[in-house]
Amino acid sequence: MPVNKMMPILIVDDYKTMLRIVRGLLNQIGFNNIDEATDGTTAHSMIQQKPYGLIISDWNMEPMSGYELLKKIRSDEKTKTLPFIMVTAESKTDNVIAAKQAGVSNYIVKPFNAETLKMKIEAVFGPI
Amino acid sequence: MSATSPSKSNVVAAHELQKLAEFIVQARKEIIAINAPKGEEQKKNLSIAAMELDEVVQHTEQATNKIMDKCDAINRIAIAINSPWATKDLRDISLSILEACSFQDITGQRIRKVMRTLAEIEIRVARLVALFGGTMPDNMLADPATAKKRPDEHLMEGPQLRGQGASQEDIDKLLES
Repeated sequence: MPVNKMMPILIVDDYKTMLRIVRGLLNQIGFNNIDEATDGTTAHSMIQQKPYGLIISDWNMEPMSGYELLKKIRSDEKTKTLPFIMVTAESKTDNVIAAKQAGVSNYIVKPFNAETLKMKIEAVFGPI
Repeated sequence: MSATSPSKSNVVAAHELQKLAEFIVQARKEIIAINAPKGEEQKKNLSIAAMELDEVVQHTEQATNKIMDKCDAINRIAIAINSPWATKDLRDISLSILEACSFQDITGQRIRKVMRTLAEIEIRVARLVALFGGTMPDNMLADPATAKKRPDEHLMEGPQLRGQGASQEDIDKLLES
């Protein structure tokens, strides 16, 4: 089944320029129903209130990191299968392993391009 | 050549540390004077170099937003032009520029790493001054109150140096394993 391009997506990053870039790249791919949060705590609150189809999150944020957000989502029965793609400059293998063990759907290392983002979304959902 | 006695060495070290601490505080005052629009209250908790680096991050953010505004303008022109090849080319160019703008995020993270290191250096200097019985200058960056350690703090190093860290290809293989 082709991915629903109308699904609501939440992008999370403490750098506003990065939010703008990811939004722009998602627009180019065909996704336009996008919300933003600048930290894990705000994102978690938004996820409790709206049925997002995909979360795209940075790791290094305060007060709640993307990793902590991921673990919180996976520990909640209502959101444990919510697709979550980590987009981060954290590129050590320890980070990837930790994210994998926490249940990340995919992991993109910064800097990245639209093609990579599209491929990683397709890896989770199928062809766009 | 006579060796310096340990007590004389300690006095010299204490004196140098005191001068270093006073230099740090004086430099911060000068930087605050340069950046007058921002209140001193905002600055006092930043190490001196962190204040300058903070300005760098702010300026790069402003410049990046201006570049992305122009990308939006290019996209509007691309849509307005009724030419399939020109529209595609313009949108591709706009996309490439947008992708390149992620430099601001990476440089910002690297700068934050440097800022944390410099703050730590200033705190350690303050500790040494105290250890040697020196006078802590006013507005010396104090030892922060014991902050709650983040559970994933050991995993938050930020961007790695070139050649270190995993590539996207390496990461894909790790995830598949």
